[in-house]
Amino acid sequence: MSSFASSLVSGVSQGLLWAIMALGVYITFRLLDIADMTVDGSFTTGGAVTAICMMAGYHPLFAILVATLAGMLAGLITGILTTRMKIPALLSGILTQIGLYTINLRIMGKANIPLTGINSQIQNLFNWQLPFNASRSAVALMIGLIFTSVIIVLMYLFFGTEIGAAIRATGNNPAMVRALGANTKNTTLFGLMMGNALVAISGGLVAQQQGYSDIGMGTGAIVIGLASIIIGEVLFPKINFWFRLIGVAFGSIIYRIVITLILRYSPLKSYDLKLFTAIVVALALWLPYLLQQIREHKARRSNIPSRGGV
Amino acid sequence: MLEVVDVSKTFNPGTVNENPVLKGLSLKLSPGDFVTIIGGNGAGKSTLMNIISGVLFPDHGRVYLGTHDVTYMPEYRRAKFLGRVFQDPMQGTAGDMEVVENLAMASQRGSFRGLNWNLKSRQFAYFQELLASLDLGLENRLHAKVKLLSGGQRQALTLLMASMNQPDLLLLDEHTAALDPKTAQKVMQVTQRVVSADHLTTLMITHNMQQAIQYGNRLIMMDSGKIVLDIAGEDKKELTVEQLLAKFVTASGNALANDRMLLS
Repeated sequence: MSSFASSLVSGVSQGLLWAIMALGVYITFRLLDIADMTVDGSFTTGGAVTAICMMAGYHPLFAILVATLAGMLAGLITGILTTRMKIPALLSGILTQIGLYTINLRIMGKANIPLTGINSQIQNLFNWQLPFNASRSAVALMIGLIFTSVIIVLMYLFFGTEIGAAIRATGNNPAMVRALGANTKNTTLFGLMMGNALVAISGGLVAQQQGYSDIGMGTGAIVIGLASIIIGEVLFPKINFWFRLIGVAFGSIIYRIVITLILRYSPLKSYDLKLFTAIVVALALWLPYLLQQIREHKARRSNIPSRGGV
Repeated sequence: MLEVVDVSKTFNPGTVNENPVLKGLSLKLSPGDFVTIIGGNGAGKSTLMNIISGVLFPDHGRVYLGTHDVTYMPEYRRAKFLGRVFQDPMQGTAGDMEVVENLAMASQRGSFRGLNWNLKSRQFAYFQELLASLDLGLENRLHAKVKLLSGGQRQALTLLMASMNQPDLLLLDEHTAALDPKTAQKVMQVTQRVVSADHLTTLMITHNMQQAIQYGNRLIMMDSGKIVLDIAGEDKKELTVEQLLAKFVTASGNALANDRMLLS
């Protein structure tokens, strides 16, 4: 494979694994209308829990399951802070995220757990032996595709249920949801738990794929999630909920491809990426307002007085 | 059906901004009553509505719905007894969701929400029939996002949603105040039809004296947190806006200084 093609494949497979995190952020950011800062911590929690479960010899899929529960717990804490203790949602997420830093270090016992090399006897999903002679990146692609597809289907189904609809409506109009008899404290709590469960699954898969879990692996995850959502929304038509979810996954893939290409073909180093992403997301969030201002400016320019003032 | 007993509510108690909004108000509605409430700004109409619906709890007094004491029952739990339509047409519906999704959620008011599909195909014909009764063409727009509807259409939809499942009490909180006169009239026609079709016990707040006289079988006027006028039956049918104004001045002991109410 050419280096361009191989960076493309690697971008796609990474994008699929990170897409699950972006889908989690989609639940909180778009459906619940909360910028959930827990994500940076719960992504690492997912990686940390997966790593110690694998070190203890458990099956890598079981490790992901435990990570999912840990992510739900993280979401539960943010949910309690914001719905039961009335701390603003943004601050609740930040508090959980800060707390999780300690907890993640406690889980791992150190800042980094390698899952390859000296620990190569550990089972890893990404060492999956396919019947045909598949490359490592093809296996990663396959695993990412399976997980992301299953999660998109489950999300689509869930948000079509009575409770799912109530969660969607909570982000849209909480007063109406209460008037229709659903407890918005609980719908918010559920949404936060689900979102962070997905984030932790993503963290667990990324840790397995990259071959280590690191205390800093979740830093900036929320911003990457937002970038994926926005890319998806710009490039994908909002026909229905399927398209939105698939759009988020594609947004994540495109983000990864861009990052991979930048690292390969530009003088930017990996530590430059966070600033780059932050700037891109800031510009993207500014865009709707900017376009509105441009329209208003044009309208003003074309609104020429037909006669003089008094 | 609804009984409010000696309810008081004071905002910012113990501060310089202390504001006693309701002062020992009592009110009893019989089943099938359609009561209109009128009063100037600050009379306590909205606070009364919020206490009945559970958005606020009273400092003193009780609220009963049917046989239930709902004084401190959370808003979402007493929703099973109540249908509500708000002043802001945006507040009663979820704009980013489809017409049919909103109706489906309303049909679950008062029951547990589980993992059944929100949209059930067996309900579609019923929803379509309800929408057709509005005569707004909404029966062909089941899958339109609610935010694409006009304010009047949204209010009419909210009325359908609020009256679904036969609530014990329908609360209308100035639900035509944000609409233009023609749309307001249309929404009032729908209101009348929905209320009489199911003999719903209804409490409607309004700023519009004409509306308060025209609709319902009982009219209540509030001033400074109290009921100052309560007219029902034949007396109400013969009431005119002029008489109502005169009665208000006598009852409240001061001239009506509320332009918004005078003009409407």
